[in-house]
Amino acid sequence: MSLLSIENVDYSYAKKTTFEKHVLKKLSLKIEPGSFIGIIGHTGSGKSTLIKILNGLLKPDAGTILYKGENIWSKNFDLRNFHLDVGVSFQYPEHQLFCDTVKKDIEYGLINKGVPKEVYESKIKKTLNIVGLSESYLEKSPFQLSGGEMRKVALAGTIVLDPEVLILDEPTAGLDPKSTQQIYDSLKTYQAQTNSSIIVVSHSMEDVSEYVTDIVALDDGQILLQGKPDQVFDNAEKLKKVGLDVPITTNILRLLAKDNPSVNTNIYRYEDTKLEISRLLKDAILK
Amino acid sequence: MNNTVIGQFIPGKSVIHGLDPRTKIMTTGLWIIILILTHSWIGFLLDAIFLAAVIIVSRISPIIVLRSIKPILPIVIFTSFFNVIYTSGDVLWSAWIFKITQQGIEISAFLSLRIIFMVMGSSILTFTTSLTDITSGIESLLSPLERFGVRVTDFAMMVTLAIRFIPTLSEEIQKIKDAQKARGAFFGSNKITKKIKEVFPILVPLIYSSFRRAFDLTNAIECRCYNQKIKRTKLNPLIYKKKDLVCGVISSLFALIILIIQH
Repeated sequence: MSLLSIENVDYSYAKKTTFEKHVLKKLSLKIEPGSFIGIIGHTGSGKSTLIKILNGLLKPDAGTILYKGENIWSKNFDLRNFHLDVGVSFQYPEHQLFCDTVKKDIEYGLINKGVPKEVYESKIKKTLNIVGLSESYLEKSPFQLSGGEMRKVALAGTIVLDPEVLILDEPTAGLDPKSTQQIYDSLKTYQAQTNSSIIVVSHSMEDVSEYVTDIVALDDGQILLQGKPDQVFDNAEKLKKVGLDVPITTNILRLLAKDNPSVNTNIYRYEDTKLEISRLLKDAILK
Repeated sequence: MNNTVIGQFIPGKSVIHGLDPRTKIMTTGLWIIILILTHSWIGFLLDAIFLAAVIIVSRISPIIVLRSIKPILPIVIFTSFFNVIYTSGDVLWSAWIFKITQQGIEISAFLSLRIIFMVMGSSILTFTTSLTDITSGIESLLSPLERFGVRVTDFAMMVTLAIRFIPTLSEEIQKIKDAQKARGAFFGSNKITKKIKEVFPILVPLIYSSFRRAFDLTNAIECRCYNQKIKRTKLNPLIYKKKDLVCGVISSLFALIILIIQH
């Protein structure tokens, strides 16, 4: 049984008006414990709506959502606790900060969850470790921090609740490469510690291919492609048709392969690309 | 939450939609004067016919127009209640200290009709005119004041910006609310102390982001060398057309008829 699954979900905005928009069409998705899923899709393909459906913030027009086998829209399901079990960090999560110190802001979710006060400190410490902030930040005002630091604080506010599924909408939008890497590293650390599932929505094929284990490509409210990165990126033509692409490193290798058939074109990570290119260079020198 | 709620503008292609906003604003003003002038049953009958004709021409569903009087209904009921009780005249019915007079009923009926017609009439203006058009109409109507040192363009710019950001802010509220809900926040308690506490997680980020937006906008405006001292031209300048003249003539004639009937 999957941890969280949605079946044949349909959703439209502004129903029964001239502005009606059918966003999700008969969409089904299964999320297994410990998976790291990347959702890619063009703007307006329904990614953000899908997140809200997964988190129970939006009720689908049709279809079911099961969490540990329970229908989350059945009458006696505790939706509020579900929001905490399936943690979501929306786009620009730093916009949700509101307390005068970082500590209070991270505590906000714990208070809402009703966690006993004695464990606050240990939990916050652990979380700061995961997102890579030092404890000196706790007494600072979140509004004094830089964009990347604010993002980390906001992320800490979600992670501190130990969600079993962690959903992130564009977690690295507008961040520099270093912060991007730090954010993804913290996600990896969190997953290694808790075996939770992580879902990342991203525009960046490079980030997705670098970190995730499964990819779901959305187009017009439906799943276009689904599978391991190599399975998805094998369909470069299909991806390009809907405004997506393969990672830039893969593109480079595929260009090289036009002259040299020995190039392996099914490589998606930076490290592997580096190895492949140095292998090619060595071959060239030997010749 | 989207733009449809705010400003109530319902896009359409009727004659009324196509009128110059200035014509519509002035006609609405005239409509209010007409209603103040009316104080007889026959007058209100004519008003009702005129209003009905306008609603039909505007092709806005009458139900939507009727719905616009819902928010002012309590005021109408309140004022007519006191008018019925406190107007002296020929007593129709009395109990304890309350007396209902024929004049009282008449006065309160006229007052209620006046308010209701007024709101319905002005709602036709907002239903058929986009907010940008209304502001540029007001700006153009107020522009003579510029000779007296009133900075109408500044004012219009401010109003336009304020209105422009209503949907953005309401979207932002929804986003912040979702984000806080995802952190276990609960909105909709019954206790007033809890209600106040619930507001903070929304209000603080909202104010913060409003300031951020304001700074961004100021920079953007400055970068484009925006300067009110220069006479600015418009993408869609307001020009009176033949139908504006027709509309003006019809409504003035109607006002004249009411004026004659009432004297």
